[in-house]
Amino acid sequence: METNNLINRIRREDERYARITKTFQIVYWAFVVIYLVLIIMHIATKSPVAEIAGSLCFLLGMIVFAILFRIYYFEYKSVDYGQPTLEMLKKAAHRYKPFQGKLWFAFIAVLLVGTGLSLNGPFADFVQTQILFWSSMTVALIIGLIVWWIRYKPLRDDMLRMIREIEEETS
Amino acid sequence: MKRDEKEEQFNQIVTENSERIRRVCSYYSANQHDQQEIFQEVLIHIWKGLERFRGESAMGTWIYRIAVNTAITHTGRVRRHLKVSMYTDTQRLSSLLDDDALEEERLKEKQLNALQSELNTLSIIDKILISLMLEELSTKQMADIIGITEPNVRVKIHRIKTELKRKLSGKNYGNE
Repeated sequence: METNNLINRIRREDERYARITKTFQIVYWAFVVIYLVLIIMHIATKSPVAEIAGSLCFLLGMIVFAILFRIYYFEYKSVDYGQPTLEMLKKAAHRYKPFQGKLWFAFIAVLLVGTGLSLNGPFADFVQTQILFWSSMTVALIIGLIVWWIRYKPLRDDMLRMIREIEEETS
Repeated sequence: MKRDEKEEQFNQIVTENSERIRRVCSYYSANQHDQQEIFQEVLIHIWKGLERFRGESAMGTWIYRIAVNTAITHTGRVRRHLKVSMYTDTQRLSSLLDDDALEEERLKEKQLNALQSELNTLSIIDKILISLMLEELSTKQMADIIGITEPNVRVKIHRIKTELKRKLSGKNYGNE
């Protein structure tokens, strides 16, 4: 029966999503555990404070990334097609916005990882490490923006146009 | 909600509404394969949304919302741009042209074909409204589905009808 096949398909899809999310969660939380162990080892071996602080920065960065990933995952999972069209379009247009408030938390996480990188190395390499790190981050941001510009901006523009069309003639 | 209960409710919804969902899907694509894809996607969204459905709107309205929202976003994903086309049979279209001036059957058929072409020049929101009109929904239901007020729906429908009539009356359906 068609409906039963569909239910099985949905079930498989749900399981696949659950597996992917679980894998990501495991990776992030594994990093968290690794850095936690490293911090403990640094403290036990009386390592310099800078190294402990560096690992702590990594740890905090990974925690922020893990939480952000969870928030994004639930946001996308809970897209509700049963809402009125106007409401759904507004929420979708917000989701496709390149710079959202949540991005500040990603920036904080990147900042923490960048700081951790420098604190764990010799101070002479500080500038070099930072230049390399922020250059890579800038390239990653530009690539992300190009992908957004090509794939999502046209969709978002259409959504905004539809929202305008729906909202006009409201008198 | 337990899985068995959910499956039972879902099966009931599909049995009761599959025809209307298929019809809405058919308005947005002439291609059978696309229609089937949209239909399946609508069912997936119904399944996923079942637990969120609190009965704040009527079940029928909720299903139409899902069908319309899925259809308009599906076309967007396929073509990257939201470009909705409308396809429907002339019998349903005739409900849009209940004008006294358009009496003769032969002319009416030509007009309906012209109307089909004109529908595809409308904006997406106008196409959505037309598809809901063809489903013979009330302005209240249309307002609930789109998320605007009833007077707003009436204004839009009046404008669409006036515009369509103006365009069609400007065409020559002579004896060619």
